[in-house]
Order: sequence, then structure tokens, then C-alpha cells
Amino acid sequence: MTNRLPPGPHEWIDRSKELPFTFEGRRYVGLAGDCVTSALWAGGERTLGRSFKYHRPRGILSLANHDVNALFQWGPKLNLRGDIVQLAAGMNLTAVNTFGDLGTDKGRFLEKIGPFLPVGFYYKAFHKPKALFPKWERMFRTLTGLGKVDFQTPRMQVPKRTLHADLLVVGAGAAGLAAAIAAAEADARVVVVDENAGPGGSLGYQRGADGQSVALLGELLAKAQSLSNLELRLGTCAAGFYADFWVPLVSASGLARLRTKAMIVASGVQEQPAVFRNNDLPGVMLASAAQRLVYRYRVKPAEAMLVLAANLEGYSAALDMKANGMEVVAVVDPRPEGEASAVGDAVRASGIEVLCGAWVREALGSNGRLRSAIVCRLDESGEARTATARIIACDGLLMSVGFAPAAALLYQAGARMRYDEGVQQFVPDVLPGGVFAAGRVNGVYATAHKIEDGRQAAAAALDWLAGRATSSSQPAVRDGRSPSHPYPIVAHPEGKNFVDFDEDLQLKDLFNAAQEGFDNIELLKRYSTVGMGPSQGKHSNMNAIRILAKIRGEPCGAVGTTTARPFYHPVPMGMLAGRGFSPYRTTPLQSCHKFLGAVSMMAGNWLRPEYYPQVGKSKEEAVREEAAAVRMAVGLIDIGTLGKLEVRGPDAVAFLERVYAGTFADMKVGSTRYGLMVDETGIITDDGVVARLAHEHFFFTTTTSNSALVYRELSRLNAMWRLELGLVNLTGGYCGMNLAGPRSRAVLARVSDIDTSEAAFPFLAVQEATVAGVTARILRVGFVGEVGYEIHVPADQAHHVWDALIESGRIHGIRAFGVEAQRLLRLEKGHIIVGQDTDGLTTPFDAAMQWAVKMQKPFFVGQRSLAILKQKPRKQRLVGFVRDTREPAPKEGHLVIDGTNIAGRITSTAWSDTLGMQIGLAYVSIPLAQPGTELQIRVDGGVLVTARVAKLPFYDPANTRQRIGDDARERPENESGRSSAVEAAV
Amino acid sequence: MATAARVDDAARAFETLAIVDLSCLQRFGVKGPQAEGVLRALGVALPSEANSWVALEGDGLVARLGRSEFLLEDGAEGSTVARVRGALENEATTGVYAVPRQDLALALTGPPVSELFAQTCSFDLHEFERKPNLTVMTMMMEVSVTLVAGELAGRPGFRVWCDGTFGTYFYERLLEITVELGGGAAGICDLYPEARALAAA
Repeated sequence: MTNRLPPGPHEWIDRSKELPFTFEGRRYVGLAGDCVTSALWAGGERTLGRSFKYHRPRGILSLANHDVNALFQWGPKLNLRGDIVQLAAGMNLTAVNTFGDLGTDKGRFLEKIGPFLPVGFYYKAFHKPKALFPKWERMFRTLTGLGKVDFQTPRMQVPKRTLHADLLVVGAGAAGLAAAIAAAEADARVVVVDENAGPGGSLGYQRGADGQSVALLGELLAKAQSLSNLELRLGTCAAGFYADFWVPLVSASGLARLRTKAMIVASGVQEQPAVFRNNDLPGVMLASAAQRLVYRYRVKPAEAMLVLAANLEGYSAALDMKANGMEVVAVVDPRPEGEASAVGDAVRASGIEVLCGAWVREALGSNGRLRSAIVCRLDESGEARTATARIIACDGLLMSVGFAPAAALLYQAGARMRYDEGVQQFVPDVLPGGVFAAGRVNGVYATAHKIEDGRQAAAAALDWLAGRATSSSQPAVRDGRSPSHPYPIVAHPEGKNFVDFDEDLQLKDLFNAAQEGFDNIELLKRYSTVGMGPSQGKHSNMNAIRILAKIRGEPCGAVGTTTARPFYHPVPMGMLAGRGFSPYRTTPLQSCHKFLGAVSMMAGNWLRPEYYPQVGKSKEEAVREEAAAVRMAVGLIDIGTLGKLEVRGPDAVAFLERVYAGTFADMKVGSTRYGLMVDETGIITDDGVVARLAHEHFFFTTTTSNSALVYRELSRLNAMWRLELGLVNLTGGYCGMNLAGPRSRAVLARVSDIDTSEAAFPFLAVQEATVAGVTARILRVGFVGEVGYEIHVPADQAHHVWDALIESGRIHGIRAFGVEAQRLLRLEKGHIIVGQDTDGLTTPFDAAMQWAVKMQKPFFVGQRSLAILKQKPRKQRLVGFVRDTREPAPKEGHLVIDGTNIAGRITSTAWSDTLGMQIGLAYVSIPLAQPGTELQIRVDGGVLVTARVAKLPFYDPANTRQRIGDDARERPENESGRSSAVEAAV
Repeated sequence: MATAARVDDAARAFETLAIVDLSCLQRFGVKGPQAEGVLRALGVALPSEANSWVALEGDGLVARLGRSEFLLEDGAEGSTVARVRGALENEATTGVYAVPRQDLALALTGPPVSELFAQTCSFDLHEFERKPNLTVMTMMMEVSVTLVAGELAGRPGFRVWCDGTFGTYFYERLLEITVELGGGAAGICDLYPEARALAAA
């Protein structure tokens, strides 16, 4: 670690913890607290990556969390930004975007053909001949893209958090800390975030070789830490601003959504590079990058420094380097008058040569390292006078020519910015309510002024929180100097003077793009790709604006800025996805299903038994057996997933009359009736069974998928109607099971006190009775087309009742049956499933269910729409169809074809053992809806098969099986208790 | 109702973050315009404001979920729920409607509980400092829940109720995150030793 400096105050590294790691197969040892980049630089590495287009060697540029030429791959983790990712022991890092190793990257030949790849070349070439396009596409996909995705990477379960604050302060520098302290002292709940691992912002690294800034930082931190209502979150980036003051906070541990009531943006500025030839050579870096290396990580940027400075900050950096033992060979200042300040005087007094009115024309290097620089005097027009060229040996070249505000959050919040000629920077002009700016982003640079500006922003934010709305964007005070050079760019005939380091864009590329007509900043961005790389223009947008302004002969303010969109920094996809929550519901009978080995499926958000596997049998065989058990003996299915609602009160009938399309006023107590629900547009939304338990007391069911939705909608409707009733959701409080089949009565009778005779308990009746000692609501309905009982019991008693019914049915060959068997059985009976046999456009007329609609009622939801729809010609109708042959089998979703036209689609279909044929439901055009009509159905592979429209129901059209007689089927036929038919099926 | 009475590692869980299943406690809902009057007539002390709660004798509580809807839950030895249930079942009064509650009911306690909520819920727990008897209906892990803050056998903590049909999902996911945060499950008797009889039943 030859480049490590002696310990210094506020350094971020822990010298007691060494972290071994490898890069490109070479071994290094860093320190805890190092970022990857600082550890490599400390280890003597200068080439950290290759550039995107020309594969030029690149080192450190900003060390400000957006150095995208120093991206690394660590196993499945790709594109780790070396200047922000903390070093970890055992890292095995490689560079990205190389062919072969970093040193001998074969991609570097691309620089040699650079003249043939001008800006926008991909818009103009490779279109013809078309046949070659796939080849070009493959080639470009190979050449481009950063990092290698490992598709075997296991899913990361990254938590997502939700946080709350009165005030969010973005940036823990002087202005941010001052603002946060002032607000917290006034009892506001304050969260301060800073994307850096340590606090302080420029206080920590732009020291100017004196101890005042770190002393101030220490004071601010001590004060902040003493305030319990001030939370400082380091290594956390405020990555965007969304409506209602939601701000995503991204840190190594995941993504948090912060809801704040106000926000102060004190995010500072990003230092901008100077544009000269070879300004990308490793060793050429922003002055602030060098200062970060020195003070945060105690790493020497180089041995001999040349400083290109157009502001006080550059001179300050020169002092910092010298104070830390490095040689500063000269300061080159494009301003003829140089730096007229105490810092400028200090530099001159220190013996550092200062060259005013000069510029670095070119950096020179070999083997990917800076060796020297050519410095020229500037003429009056700002061009380099080559006759004055002087070569200065150096292995470090620091650029300090200006800054751009880190104002992305302000833009996203809707701030209007203006270009301030005084500071040569965009500053907030009009800020939205609740959003404030402070510090450098506000154009305030002097430390004392930043503190004052932060306090002023806090006062304004506190006014906002107290309801005394303020929206001032005026800074407390500005410094009266410009820290940014208006045009830190000098042309060179041989190019390689980079404006955008992400995309390898040179100065001439922007001139060429403008010459081709792309002279609007948004068009220039898209055509040239300036600012479209992973750093999103953090180091390039401002220079692009200055260049375009010069081309157009307009001020920067007239050129404007591009749109800043979230996210501010790259965010791993795994963090965006986060830990997923997919709620599912189970009935109280889930343990029974588990005991029986059920295979489960999702029905809506319910986990339901699809079928109960049998050893040595296929799923189809198991389903067939379950269906056969219901047809021949008895089956039991968990219908606890149905929505179960209760309505009580004097207006209960009126309520049901309004929400259902059928009539219920004439229902007798103790009876049930089918109910069909439509929405205001007449579309079928739900169906179920309504049971009248008492004169003013109804119990009704909804479909499995819609239970929550229906309850919410009915609650909403009654909030408007204000009828006198109570609507109670029993879906979770009760559990239902359907006992169905010719022997169901016998099974029920054994465990219930109910009189199950046809006379006492007829089809469509409802009774409250006990089952296995539990009070139950029993509905005699027949969804599957057999004698059946829906038994609803309190949820905590359901397991007991299920077990009792299974035990009671054992001698009758009872079988639990799942959703698959139920779907088949109800299809045989021609019953629709809302959501499967209907969609978001299906009316009762389409579904052939006009029988369930009573238009003569005074009112029901959807009545007016249905009255209109009824007058219109029908386009389609739901019909049944049959096929005698089994293969090829139509499937749900297959199309009905009439000539060359699509004439319908299948909604349900299955092979019925009971009927010995393929059956199904399909929507078909009206001319095809007549029974007996032949349908052409396009099945898998495009083959057309023939089916025949058939009357519904397919099974037991006279409904004789749903009525109870003195039926031998109700008695066991042999010792096993199974009917002969079931025996045969089994 | 079968429930975990004691868990071996409960003491460690209470030191960090404990999740206790209290679903077996007796609870009952009442709603309707006459609900308040009827409950008061039955001698049940009620919160005067919507979205707040008051304690019942024996660690129970009454939460006012809206202007005219109440959740009653007995503690391990309470009897209010049985009394109210019996009165309402025996007498049908217009304007008062019984709401059977088969909830998953949990207690959460321990210092990292705020982190647990941060990962599972968007509600700002700070509101409980402003109004300790707040009853909140919000979402956790995309499930509707009722949430209150209060003392759990002398420990600061939270009570959470959700529809019992989400119980398996909710408990498993919450426990998974609880374990990630260094906590674990505890039994009802670990929290309320007097609940032994209830758990045995």
C-alpha cells in the first residue's frame, strides 16, 4: 500500500482491518472503509476500466459516486460502481466491457476505426441490405452492454421499508446539517440522507489545508447526534421525488419509501471536467476527486500534480495536495487575472508556480498513465496559442473549472430553474410548496453562507409545516464570485477531448450533431447520446449545454436543460423488486386437505385443493374418480372460499332488490334463490345464492374471487342509499362445505338433527340445524347437479364438521373432491362460472341468463343499461357444444371459426366420462347459436375440428337427480360402502 | 382452538422481537346504529371517539372501528365477550348486528418492532406517540389489518388483527421477517401465564 498517506482527521478508513481482494486476478489488500476504487488506487492500480465505445483505459474521474468507467463485476453482481461500493474481504473483481483481460482488451482496436464511427452512425448505417441486419444486430449486442448477467443468480429477498418524517434533508454537508439541526431544534422529526459513506460533504474534503472546515464539521455532527429527533442516514441516496412527497431512499440494505411533509435539497454540486485532448487519461481527474482520495481514504492521487484551476476551489485543492506531501508542479488558470483571494495568495506564497491566462491543451501519457501535459497561453478568443506550448511533467492533473447543481430532485419536484450568470450555474427560480434548496445547489459556496442558507431553508420549511406557507427560492446570501468557468472547453484538431466519458463523446461529436440539425438540447441528447450513459450526464450535461449555447450564440439559460427523471443513481433491479408480498387465503379446512395430500391451486387469492392425488394414478384419473364419486355416491368439497355475506334489517329486501338483477321480495323464509349481479353498465360481475333465514335476515354467497370486492361495493352502495340494515361479511367467520351426490342425504342424516326428507327439506330450501353438534346453515342447492347440501358453520368448528361428514360418509364411499372435479361436474350441468365463462364485456343476454334478470322491477344496479342493451341486436351468445371424439380436444380460449372469420371462443371444456363425450361452453355469433349447428373450432396446431351446438344442461335436463326419492342409490351396495359404479371407476 | 402455549426460545424472542399468536382469545364484533347504546346498556365501557380503544378488565379491550362498529376482545380471563355475545344472540334488536370475528390476532413486542413495521406496513407508528389509544385500520403485507399500540403484560408492543383466512400467509411471512430481525415466536402462556386454561381448552 505504497500510496496510503499517514492517518488524518475524519478519515473514513479503519487501518486495523485489512481486506484482501483480487482484481483481474491480481491480489490487493485494502482497508475497511475503503471503496473499491480507493483500494485499487492505493494498491497502485491506475487503469480501473475501459471506456464504453473506444475501450480507452480509464481511471478515476470524479470519485463522486458516478464514475461509470470504473464499474466492476463480482460474481453475479455486475456493474458495481467502484467509487461507492464498499470494499469487502474476498472480493474477486473483474472489469466490465472488456474482451480478454483489462490490460490487453481486444476491444481497444475500435479506437482505430473511430473515424468511421461518427456521432449517430448507427442511425445511418446497417439498414441495407436487410438480410444482414440480424448479423449487425448480433455484433452490436455483443459489443455493447456492460457486465454479464448470470441467469442462475438466486432471487434476492431485499426488504423494502416505509419511513416517515416531517422534514427530509438531502445532503449532510454544511447547509444540510445546519438546516437539519435548526429544524430538529424546533421539534420537527428530521431525516437527513447522504449518498456518501461519511457525512460532511465538501467540509470533509475541500479543506484548503486548514483545519477550520473539519472543526466545523465536528461541531455540526456533535450537535446533530445530540438531537434524538434527527436521524442521519449515510450511504443512502434520495433517488427520486414522487407525488405526495414520496421519496425512494436507496442504500446497500435496500430501498425505503420515505413519506415526508417537506424537503430541503442540500445535495450540493457535481464538479465538471475541463475539455482538452486526452482529458480521460488515468491520472487526469477532478480536483475534488483528488481531495476525496486524500482526506477520506488517505490515498495519494499522484506524486506530481498539475492543477488546472478556474476558481478558488482549484487553488484550495493545490494547497491540499501540497499539505499532504505531494508536489504541485504548477497551477494553470485560464483567467488572465488569476485567483484574487487569500487562497490564491496562499498558493502563490507557497511557491507553487501559477500560470494565468493559460490552459492545458493536451495530456500526454503512455501505458495508460499520465506522464505530462502541454500547457498553452490562451488568446483573447479563448483558443490555445500553440506557439506558447510548454510541456510540464506530471503524473496527476487536477481539473477544477466549475460545477453543476445536483438538482435532479428539485427538477422532479417541479422546480423552475434559471441560469444565474453571477455563479454560472442553474439555480432554483421558483420552488413548489414544501420544497426548499440550500447550499451549493442554491448557488451558495462560502461555508458561512451555506450555514446561513441552510438555516433559512429550515425556517421556511418549519413555516410550511406549521401551515404558514412559504416558497422562497432566494438564498440567504451569495458569494459574489463565480465558481464555474463559463466555457471550460478548448478545441483540438486531433480530438479525443471528451465531453461525455460514459459514451466516449468528443467535442466534435456535439458540433457535428448540431450541424446536422440536432441543435435543441433534448434532440442533441438523443442523437449524440450525451448524458444518456449510466451517470445520466452528471459530468457531461452542463458542458453540453455550454457547447450548444456557444454553437447557437445564446446564453445557457436559453438552451435550457434536459429532463431529470428518477432514479438519480443506478438502482439494482433486485432492490426495485424488493421482497414481494403475495397474500393468499386459506379456509379453516386447509389442514384437512394437507392430510389428504391435496394438490393446491390458486383461485383468485385463495389456495384451494385442485384434486386429491391417488397413488399410481394420473391427475386426470384422480379427477375422474372424484367426479364419479359425486355422480354415483357422495363427495365433499370445501367451499369456504365463497364470499359469505349477511344482510339484516327492515330494508334488507329492498337492498337485495337493488343490488341483484332478480327479485327477492317474494321469497319465502326458508328458501334460497339464485342471484345475478351486474354493474352500472349491465356487465355480469358476480353471482351466488341468496337464502332467506328470517323476514329481515338474508344470508348470501358470492364467487370465490369476488368476495372482498362485492362486500366493498355493497358497503359503498349502502353508504349512498342509507338503507336501514346491517351488512356483515362472514367470509372469514364462516366456512362452507358442499356435500353432494345421491348418498349425501344419508351422510348428512347420520350427523344432523335435521329432517332430510324431500317434504321437510326440499330442493332450494335453507334450514338452520346442527351438524355434528355445530349450529349450521344448510342450503339445499345443486351446483354440481346432484342432491347437495351447502353446509356453513363457524370457521373454528369447520374442521370438526368436515371430519364428522367424512366419517359419516365412509360407508357410502365418500370422496373429497377438488376444484377440477367441480368444474367438470358443473359444466355437465351447464352452470357458468363468473369470470371464466364471462368477461368484462359479458351481459346477461350474452350469457343466455335473461331468466335471472327481472326488468320489471322499479330499480336495480345496471337496469338502465340493460334496458338499452336489450333493444340492440345481440352479437354473441353463450351456447353448449359437444363432440363425440376425444382427440384432438379443444381447449379453453380456442377460437370458433366461421369461414375466414372468428365467430367465437371457448370458455370451458372437458371430457365427460358420465356423458361419454367432449362438452363445453362457447360464445358464438348469433347465426351459429342454434342447437344442432356445426361449429368449426381451431385447436392447437391450427387444425379445425367440428363440434355441435347442444342444448343446456348436458346432464339431467329434467333435474330429477337433484330431487330426493326412495332411491336405491342412497344405500351402500357392498361391504366397501362404494356403489358398483364407483367400484368400476376406481 | 389449538394454539402454541409455550415456545422453547420465547425468552430470547422477548429480548429481541417476539410474535405471539393470541387468536384463541375470545372476540366478537358488534355494528349498527344502535350498537353503542346496546353495549353501554350491557355495561361495556366504550371509546368515545372512532378509531380509538379502551381497555377491558383482564387485559381485554374494546376498539371502536368506526362510528358504529366495535371489536371486543377478552384477555385470558375476561368474560365480557361471552356476556355480550349471549345477550345479542338471544335478543334480535334492529340496528345492532353481531359480527363473528375469527381473526388471526397477534401481539408484537421488542425493540426491532418498528423495523418490522417499516418492512411490512406503510403506517407511521409515530402517530401512536401523539395518540396512544389510536385504533388504526391499515395494510400490512398487503392484507387489511387492525392495529393498536399498548402494553402487553408490561411490555410495550402492538396488537394486530386480520381476517383469519389470511392467517397462514400472514403469520408465516411475519415470522420469517421476525426471525430475520433476530426475533422469533412465543406462546400465549409465555406472555400471559394465566392463559394456561385457555390454551388447554
